[in-house]
This record gives sequence, C-alpha cells and structure tokens, in this order.
Amino acid sequence: MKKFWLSLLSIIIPASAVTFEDNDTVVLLGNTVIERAQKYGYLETAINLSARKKKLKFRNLGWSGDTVFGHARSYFGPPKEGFDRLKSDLTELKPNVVIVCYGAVAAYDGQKGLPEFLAGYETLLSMIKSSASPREIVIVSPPPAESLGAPMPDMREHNKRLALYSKAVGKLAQKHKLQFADFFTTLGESRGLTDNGLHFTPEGYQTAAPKLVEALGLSLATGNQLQSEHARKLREATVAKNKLFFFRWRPANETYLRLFRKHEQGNNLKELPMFDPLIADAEKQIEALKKTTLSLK
Amino acid sequence: MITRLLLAVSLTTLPTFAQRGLKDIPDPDPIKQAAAFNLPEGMEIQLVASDPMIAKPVQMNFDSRGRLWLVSSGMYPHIVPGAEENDKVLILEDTNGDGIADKRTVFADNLHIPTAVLPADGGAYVANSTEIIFLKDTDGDGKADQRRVVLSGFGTEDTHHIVHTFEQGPDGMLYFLQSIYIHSHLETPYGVRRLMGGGIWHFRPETQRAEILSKGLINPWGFIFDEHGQTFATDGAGGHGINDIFPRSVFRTSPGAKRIVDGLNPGQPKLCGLEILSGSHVPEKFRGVLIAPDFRGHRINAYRLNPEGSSYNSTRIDDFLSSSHRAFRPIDVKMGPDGALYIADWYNPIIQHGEVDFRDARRDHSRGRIWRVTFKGQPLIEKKDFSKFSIKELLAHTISKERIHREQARNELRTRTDVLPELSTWSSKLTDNFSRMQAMWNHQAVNHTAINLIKSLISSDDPRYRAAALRVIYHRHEEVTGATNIIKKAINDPNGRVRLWAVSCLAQMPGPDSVPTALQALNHPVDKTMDFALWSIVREHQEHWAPKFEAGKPVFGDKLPHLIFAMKALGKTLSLESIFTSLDNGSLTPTERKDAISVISQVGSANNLSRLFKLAPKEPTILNRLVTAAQIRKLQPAEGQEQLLPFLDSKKPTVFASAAKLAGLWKFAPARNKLVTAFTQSPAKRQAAAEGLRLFGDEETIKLFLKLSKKSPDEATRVIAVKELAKIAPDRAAASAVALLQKDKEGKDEHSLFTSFLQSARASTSLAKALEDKTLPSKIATLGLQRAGTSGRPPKDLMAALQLSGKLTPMSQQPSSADMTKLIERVRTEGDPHRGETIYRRADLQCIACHAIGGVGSPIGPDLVSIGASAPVDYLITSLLNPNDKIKEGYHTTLVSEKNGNTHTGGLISESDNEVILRDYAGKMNRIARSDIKDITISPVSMMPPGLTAGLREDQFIDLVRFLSELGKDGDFKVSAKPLIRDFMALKPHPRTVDGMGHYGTATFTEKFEGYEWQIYGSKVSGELLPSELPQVRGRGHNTWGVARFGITQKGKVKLKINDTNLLDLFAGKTEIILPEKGPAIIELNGNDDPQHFTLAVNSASRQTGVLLEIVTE
Repeated sequence: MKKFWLSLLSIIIPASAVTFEDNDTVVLLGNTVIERAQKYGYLETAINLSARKKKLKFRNLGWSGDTVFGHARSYFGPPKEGFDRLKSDLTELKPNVVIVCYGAVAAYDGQKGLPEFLAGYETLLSMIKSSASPREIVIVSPPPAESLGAPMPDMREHNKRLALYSKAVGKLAQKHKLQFADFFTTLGESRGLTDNGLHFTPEGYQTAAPKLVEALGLSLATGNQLQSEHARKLREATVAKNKLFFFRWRPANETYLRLFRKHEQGNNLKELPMFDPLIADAEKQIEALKKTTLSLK
Repeated sequence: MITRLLLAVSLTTLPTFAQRGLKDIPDPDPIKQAAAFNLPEGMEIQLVASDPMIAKPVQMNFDSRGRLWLVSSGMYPHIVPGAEENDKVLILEDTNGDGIADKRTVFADNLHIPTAVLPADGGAYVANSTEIIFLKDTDGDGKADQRRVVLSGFGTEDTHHIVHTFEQGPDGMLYFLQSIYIHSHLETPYGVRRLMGGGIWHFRPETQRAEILSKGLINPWGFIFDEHGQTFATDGAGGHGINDIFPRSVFRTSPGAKRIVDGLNPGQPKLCGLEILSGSHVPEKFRGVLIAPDFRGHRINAYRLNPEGSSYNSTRIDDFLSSSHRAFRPIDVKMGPDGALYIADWYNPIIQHGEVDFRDARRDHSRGRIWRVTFKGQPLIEKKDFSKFSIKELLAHTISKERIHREQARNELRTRTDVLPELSTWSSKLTDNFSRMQAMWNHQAVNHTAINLIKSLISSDDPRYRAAALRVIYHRHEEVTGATNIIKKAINDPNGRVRLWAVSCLAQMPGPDSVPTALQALNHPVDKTMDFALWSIVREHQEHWAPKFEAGKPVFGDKLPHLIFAMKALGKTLSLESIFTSLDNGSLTPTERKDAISVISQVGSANNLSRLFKLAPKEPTILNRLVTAAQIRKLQPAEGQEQLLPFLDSKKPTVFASAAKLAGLWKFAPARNKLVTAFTQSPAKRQAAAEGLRLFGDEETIKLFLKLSKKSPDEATRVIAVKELAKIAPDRAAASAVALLQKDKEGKDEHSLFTSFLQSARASTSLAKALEDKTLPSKIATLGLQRAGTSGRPPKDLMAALQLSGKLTPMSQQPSSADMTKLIERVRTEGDPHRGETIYRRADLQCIACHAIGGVGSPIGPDLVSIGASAPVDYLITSLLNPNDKIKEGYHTTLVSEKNGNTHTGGLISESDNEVILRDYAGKMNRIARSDIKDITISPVSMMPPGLTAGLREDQFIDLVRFLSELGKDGDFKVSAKPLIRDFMALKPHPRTVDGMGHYGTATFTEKFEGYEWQIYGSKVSGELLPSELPQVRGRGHNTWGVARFGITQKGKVKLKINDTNLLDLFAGKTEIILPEKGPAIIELNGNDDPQHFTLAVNSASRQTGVLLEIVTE
C-alpha cells in the first residue's frame, strides 16, 4: 500500500522536485535571507508541511553576509576558517538534504566576479558531499532585489546581475545533476516584501514561502492548512526551536568557550549540550502540531 | 544582624570558588550608596530609579518627550540553557517634576542581551545580539508590537563587545560601535560591509546605507559629537582617554592595521560612556567639559579639549565625581531634558568581565541605578514635550541655546512629514553661523542637502563652521555642486582641522586628482594626525594615481616632497627616476635627501639599490638602509657588491658594523676573510665581524665558530663564538652554552642564549640534552624557566631539564580554595600597600619592566592604573602566580612561525605587506620579513612569566597584592588628575661626577656629556620621586646625589610647584633656578618638552623625603 502511494506521488510531482524521506535532517544554508528566515519560520513551515507526513528536522545554518567561501563564518582567522567551521557543522549534523542559497552577496561583483564565485561554489559542493554525503543537494537561486523608490536605490542593474548569477547557479546544478530551485524566477518582480530592497520582512517571508516551495517543485499545503491556527502555532514552535538551535551551534562568547580565551570559560562549554534535550522536546511539539495541521483539509 | 545571618547562611550554599571576595560586598541600600559619593562643592546627587524598578542598565537615551529609555540585561553575560530571552527596554518618566522616576513602562521584554537603545523615528532602535532591530508601538498601549530587523550579521564573540553605544548625530544618522573581538558582515543594498574588530559605523535609515567611519579601539563604549559636529570616543580597555574620531581613522588593535593613530591621553583610566557638559543649568566652568565614567575606579573623569593642529589636545582635569562605594559602576552619562546630568549605574561589586566565570555568584543580575546630578543655585531648564510641537516650533528649538532641546527637536523633526518647505523658508532668514549650522544639520537630518548653507559656512571666519560644512560634504558630496572647488580651496585652509576634513572629503571622491590635491596639505605644517590621513589616502587611492605616474605622466607637478611622501606611504616599487635625478643634481635639502634615500631603499628595485649603493662612500648611512632592504625586503643591489670591500677597512666602528652585516646578508664571499681577520684580531670590531659571519650562516661559518668557541686563546672571542653559533646552529652550541650559563651566577643571560635556544623545538631539546647531569646556578635556571614558559610553545623537556639542573622545587601555582580564602583575608587585614609599592618597584621583580601605572612605565603589559578597583583579590593572586590563567584582551602573545621552523613570540605591534613587528618580553622590537613567515597565531600563553614572585616571602607577597588591590580605589593609590611630573631619566653613577662636583657643583649634572648613561625612572603612584631609589651618584666626600632629568609638555610660561626644596637644586638647560632653601615653593618656568631639558639634583645622602613636582593650573 505504502509503495503504491510513493509511486503515485512520483507521478504527480514533477521530475525536478526535491524528495524528502522520513526522518530526514534538512540543512538550510546561505546568507542573510536564509539566516533571518529562522526568526519568522514561514519558509521552514511551508517546506515542512509540503513534505506532508514525512518527519523532518530542519537546521538553519544561514549567516548574514556569508559567501560560498565562508566569509562571515570565520572569526579571528581568514575565510578558510569559516569554511572549515561549516565543514565541521555539516560533519556533525550529517544532513540528508542540503538546501543552499548563495549568490546575493557575490552578485555585486557582476560578470567579472562570476568565475571566482562558481569555482568557490564547486568547492563548497564537493565539501558538502565529502563531509555529509547528503542524499540531495538543492541549489536555490538568490531572490531578486526590490527598487523601493527614492531615496532608496534603484536595484534594476543589480537585478540584472542577480539574474546572471541565478542562471549560472542553475547551470551549475545541471552540471552536477543537482536539484535547482529557481527562487529568482518563481518570486519574480516584487515590491514591498522587503524594507531594504534585499531582505524579507515577516510579511515578505509569508508571501515568499509558497514561491520557494514552488521552486523546490513541491506542492504546497492547502490554504486551509496554512492559514489555520495550528499552522500559526507550528510556525511559533519552529521559531522557538530555531532559537534553541542557534544558541547551541552559534553561541555568543565563543572566544571564551572555544577559542583563545577558553582557559577562562571553557568549563562553561558543558552548557551547550544542555540545549539538545530542549531542542528534541521542541521538535516533538513541532511534529505534533504538524500532524494536527495536516489533519485539516 | 538578621541580614548578616542570612548572608552567612546563603554563603554556605554557594560553590567554594564563589565565596572568595564575597566578604567585600557592600551594602546595596541606595541611601548608603548615595552617602558614599564624593562631590565637588555645589553639586548634588539624587536617585532617579533603582532596583527593582530597573535592573542592569546598559545604555540610556532620552526621547523627544523627555522620557528616559534604557536597555536592561539580567541575562548578561550568557544565556542559561532553558531560560527565556527576557531582557528589556524600559521607559522611565518623572510625571511630577521632582526628579524621581515615578512611572516605568516595559516597552519590550523579550530581548537577548540588548546593549543599546535609541528612541527615534517613532519607535526605538535596539542593539540585540546579532541584530539591530526597530521596535514600534503601533496601537498606543505603550508596548512595542512591531519588531523589524534593521541590520543583521553582528558578531557575538564576546557579549561585552557586541554592537553598542547608539548615538544620533546632528545629521540624523544612527551611529553605533563594536569592540575588538567582533566580526560583522552587514548586507546593505550597496553591497556587503564587513568590519573586523572594533570600530564605528554610521547608518541612514532612509537609504539603508551603513558605512564604517573609523576602525579599531578595544572597547569603544563612548561616542559623542561636540557642539560643532566633531566626534570623539572613549575606550573601556584602551586607556588613551579621549580619541579623536575622524573619517577613516584607525586605532590600535584593528586587525591588519598597518598604521594607527593614538588617543589624546595615553595612560589614562579606561572609560565607558562619554558626554559633553552643556546647557544653562551647568555652571559656566563645566560647560564644554567632556566627562567619561571610569567604572573600574568608581568615578567619573573629566577632560578639556583644545584645538591643536589638525587634531586636539586633551587635558585631564579634576574628577567630576567619585564614590567610595565598591558597587558603583557608572557606565553611561547623558545630559537630560531638564538640564541635569544622568548617570546609569550598572551596580556590581565586581567587574563582569570574561575572566570571571559566567556563572560566578558575584555577578549581579538584578540591581541597577540611575542617578541625577544637579548644581545648587543654578535654575534647571524647562522640560518640554516636543511631540506636541508644530514644525515651526520645532525649528525654532533647533537653534535653542540648550543643546538638549536642539537634539530633541531635531529628533522629533525626523518623524514629521513635509518638513522641507517650512525648513527652507525658515533657513533663508537665518543670519548667524551658529543658526545656519543648525539649519544645515536640520536639512541633513531629514535627508536633504542645503547647498547654500554649506557654501555660506565654508566661507565663515571661524574654522569650526568651515569644518562642519566639510563634514556634510563628506557624506553628501554627490549632491553638492562645486564640491570639488570647495575642497581644493579647503586643502590650503589656514586651519589644520579644516585641511584634515578636506583630505577626508577627497578620500570619498577617488579620482586622478584626489591624491595630488590632498598632498597639497604637505605645504602646510603636518602633524601626526594629518600625516596619517595623507598616508591613508595615498594608499586607498593608489589605483587612481600610481599607474599614471608609472606611465611617466606628471602627477605631483614638480613637488618632489609630495612624490617622496606618496612613495613612502605606498611602500611599493615605482619608477624612481625623478628622485635619482634630484639626488644627482644636488637640488635637495638635507631632509629631502634623507627622505629620498630612505624611499629608494624602501621601494626601489635591485637596480635602484645598485645606484643607491654607488652613493654610499659619500653617504655611509646608506649602508644601514641597505641592511634593512636585505633583511626585510630580501633584496640586494643587482651589481657592484665589490664596492663593499673598502668599507670593511673603515676605522669607524659603525660603518664597519653595517658593512659586515651587508657582507653576511649578501653572502658576499670575497669579504669573508676580512671578517675572519677582524673577528680574531680586532677587539673593537670583533662583535660586528662575528655578526657578519653569522649572517653567512653556512657550514664554513659554523665550523669556524665551533673551532673558535673551543680553541681561541681569547675568552671574549670564545664567548662571542658560542653566542653567535647558538643563533644559527643551537644544537651544536649547546654544550659550550651550558658552560657559559654555569658561570652566570647573577642570572642575567646577557648573551641572550635562552632566546637562541627557544627559537625551535630542536634547539630547546638540544639544550635540554646538554643540561643532563649538569648543575646551573638557581638564578639563571629560574630565568631560563621564565623565558621558556613565556615562549609561544613552552618546551616541556627544556623546562624539566632547567628545573633539575637548577635544583628548583616546583612551586604550587594553584592555591587550594581554602588557602585562597586565607590569603585574601590576610591581604585585607595584614597587607600594607605602602610596603607593597616598594616591593612592586624592586627591579628584580620586573613588575616595572613591563607595566605602567597611569602611563608612567613600560608599555609591554597592561597599564595597572585601576586594576585594584576592577579586579577581585583572588584574580590578582591568580594572575601573579599563574599569568596564563587570565590574559587581558590586547595582551595575548602572538606566535610567528617562520618557514625555516624558527618561532618568535611577543605582542603584535604592526603588520604590513613586508614585515611583522613583535615586541618581546624585553621591549625589543623584532622585525620579521613577511616572506619568511609561515603563519601567525594567537598563543594562549601570557607574556608575563610565571614565578616572578617566587622569591618573595609570604608577607611581602601579601603586601604586593594589597598594593595592587588599592590601585585606582579612592585613596593614596589612585593616580591623580593633577598634572604631576612623573616621567624622569635618572643618571647612572659615573666616575666623572666626583671631580665635576669639585669644580662646578651640581651644575656638572647639566652637562651634555656623551659618556653619561640615563635610565628611565617613573615616580611612585603619588607622583613622588624618592631620592633613595635613584641611582646613587657620587659627589665629594660621603655625599651622594640623585640626578633626574625631565621635560614639561605644557607650552609657554608654566608654574611649577615643588613640595620641598630642601637639599634640592634645579636647572633649566644649564641655567640654575634659584630656589628657597627649604619648604614648599612655586616657581615660574618656560615649558620645554625635551625629556632632558630640566635637571634636578637631590642630595640623597641627607634627604629621605620624596620630591613632588606639580604644574599649577588655574
């Protein structure tokens, strides 16, 4: 019976859809747009509900200002240190699915920066494969920028660059036979989803979430489900879980906990694993809320 | 009685480590705290709010309605797993005008260690960990119901460093700061902006543009605009008092900084917060004074600024106020809407820094106070609710004589729509500079550019307005037609500060003319600040001028000094043809010539160096330049090395020494024989010849050293051979080195043998092996242990060997908890800080070799000026016994590994493309060529050696700790704000003085005799110079004299107060100043900052009492 279901699904969902399996760990990786998504939960909730009954665990590793080289993840050392940090995070989390969205920062360098960006992306992809061997890697194109009217800058030129980068990451996905989610195209020209032309407001995320689901080739939960009180609670529980995970993997005071002043506070590193049971509890709650949400029609 | 009992009960439930120092906890009763203030005459203080109404205030700002907003963090320093994010934004109001807050609103209560708040734009900006958010109350219930992320990507590597110190500029922008460990990555519509380390940002909400204003500083927790729009910052760890913040300035600890500017008051306490006293309630004498809390010292410091050249000079004046209450921790100061001064008091008996455990029970999480300072007999100003004012009324208040009203009105103006029409009409009627400047800012505050006002102010007679106009151009040059012409004129302005702003503006407008125009400032006096700004623009804009110059086009006209400046600043090889031409035709002044030679050696090619070398016979200093080029740039002349040979016959030791070095660095084989001859036969040249040979570094040299170290009949030759051999082949020198060390009874290691053997693991192991079954004098073994212990990677085998051979018993560096409690108690009851200071100053303890107190002393370790007020006693004890346990930020050891396996350790002074400079334990600067370096890491080892206090008796150790624990607290050991003379150069004994005294009396000490040796002498904390501590210089008979020279930095006529002239003579230059025979005296002098201008001679055989010299100010 179950097998039949699966084969039926594979007919409905277009060939380029990301596939989830039960108990998958899904990592969201990228820069500001990914990082801030964890604070509002819309993207994660929409994807989670699209996976229907499959139980998923999401880990948001987005970092403001980050690049395929790990620029924002290093602290006192060169970007390489940030890249290595990501590597060890992925090795530890062992995600089954990695959804990667880079290009928004690099696009400022235009055509001339593209080869370096793509070369860096290749390195990133092989690092993800070697450190976590995920079943699937999905490349997401960066969302377009918005021109909000004077005195805010006109972003039309930048959108041309973003289009260039989006196309390039699409080709990269093709080359590596990876899923490509063309967020840039499904989102299309918009206005009012952001405060600064680049980053979604909470309402912006709400509007953008279905577009990302679409780009991922998934079918969105029903309107009834998404607008339900259960879905709101699910989203809130997701945000709460994300906070706990944030304190766990990206704690404040790292200089003292792990780096060159660890002789002063390294003893407090023991507190970090104390978040694990809290995260697990939060995930149970998420699972329960997801069930009740999906039980609606 | 009940409280004491409760305290005793609760103590037993705490972990043992947390009990230490708890005994010191003062009474938290605000009435008791209020009584502990020490206020100048006429000042009053009152409690505005206290716990439980508020807790742990971090920053505060007033809104346009006169309400006090503050962020409160009980979560600091680190979230407890499972705890809610529950830090707050609080609003305090005084509804009945009695000065006491009677209404509190919790605007938000779900924050995570918020570090700054600014009410503006209809809501409040809040620094919240990795983000700056904007909170807004949209339904009028007084609570924020909307939360937007404004900027994200701020680092959290240390929660007392995270984004902080919000300030709204008169330009309407939001300024915010971050500290040393923070790395921020902000994505803006204009591209990503990254700031590594400390620095200052500005942000305009309307355009979402965030940019960096200034980089560096350790904990820049205070930032302020003065009345004319200049900016200043304080540093909670840097100790340079007031820092002049101009665009693109770079201060200490900015990662990768090739050059930095210093603060205006080196050696001052560390500060948190900054405010300028203003308004009619403040007495005249205080207006314009900068005040900044020294939270370690429970006091608020005060500074007065005066323009000087392109920057300012800053003088510390008497403290604004202080408290003897140990929990008073002022961390923010703001002028209030009623004209009074408000102080945010974090309230904590300990400093909650990273070295105190996050979960230490002494970290207070619930208390906090706001204090209000008023002045007797001065009417307060009227508190106004600007939210009720029309645009017209607001505009009128932007030119109020009360600065707080101007700020509140402008803040309110930003929330109104359609301001511009009324603003234009109103502005056109203004006639005076002050009002026009405010109107210029009003435009900027609502994101417009008032070109007419800028143009009117730029032609003002008063340079302060011209500078203010340029600051607007700096941000908005694209909108100012004719900006280029304005700047071209300003670069030749008679005022240095205006010229500096012209350079800043040019830095914003890169183009083929930007650097040549900026360098016109070189035609006027150039001070350090201007030199930095010019150096910076030359480098930043290099792609706009260097290619053109290289293509042979004139860039700097006929201004050779401009070209030389640019080349030096750039530090890169460019065509040097025009410089050579000028050198050849003799058209340069001596200074220009020196600069020209220096620049060629710094950036010239191998061919250029050949040409330069040809000039050396006439100008032997070129040899030194070539030494540096060979060492750092690994570059030697392309040809003509044979011209070196005649220099090796020079009679002048300095010329020979440079030539010998060059021979070795160039591996110039034909010179070898001359060096060998000099080494073995010429005592005066021996050392230099050996160094030259060592630089060859080949097997032949090693064999020569080996042979001479064993067989030379002459002892000095043997010693030098061992020492030099140890540097290149330590493993083969080990046995001979041990023999030398065995003779070193005093433990001085004058040949720096340990440094040689600590350069690599192989070297240290070879010494360890050579020490097997040998004994060493304990002093030299102890020194070796200290040196080894402070090297970046302490070698365990060598340390064990030294312990064994010196028969050193390992000390217990980690007292048990019970011992620690006993020690603390004894420090409190038995310790004598005066005796402790004498111990501190003992040369053999080496405290003064590395630490300064209030800027007097060595810069190697942290300045200890307020260590006692900030650090608990257990921290001091642990730091003395085991320095690696707690290391101050900025004082970590940097470990540089070379490709050849050698390592260097020390404090990082600067990094450039060519070299890295480290300061070692002895204060020596080591320059390491970038091309030799494999990697640079921060080592977890302190530069302070363990075991320095091992030679002390327990009572002496206790006295020393007591002295340290008193530093910065109210009393005898708080460095006074008075301008005391505290830096001296003391004369070492010399045979010449006995005879000289007979002929000339004490005037003999004023002689500029080359043979005299002078050592640095710093006064005691009190400023006293002790005759018995000075080197005892012999006079006639049994008389001894203490002789010290000093300079006076104050210019022009100054009054010098001497505590007692008994048995004391004083000279200005060679002229004796007639002093009364004894008793206190005030004399008038002409200031002279030459540190050896004034000479003081005190009869140390007869006078025991100290000498105190003070400059008398109004």
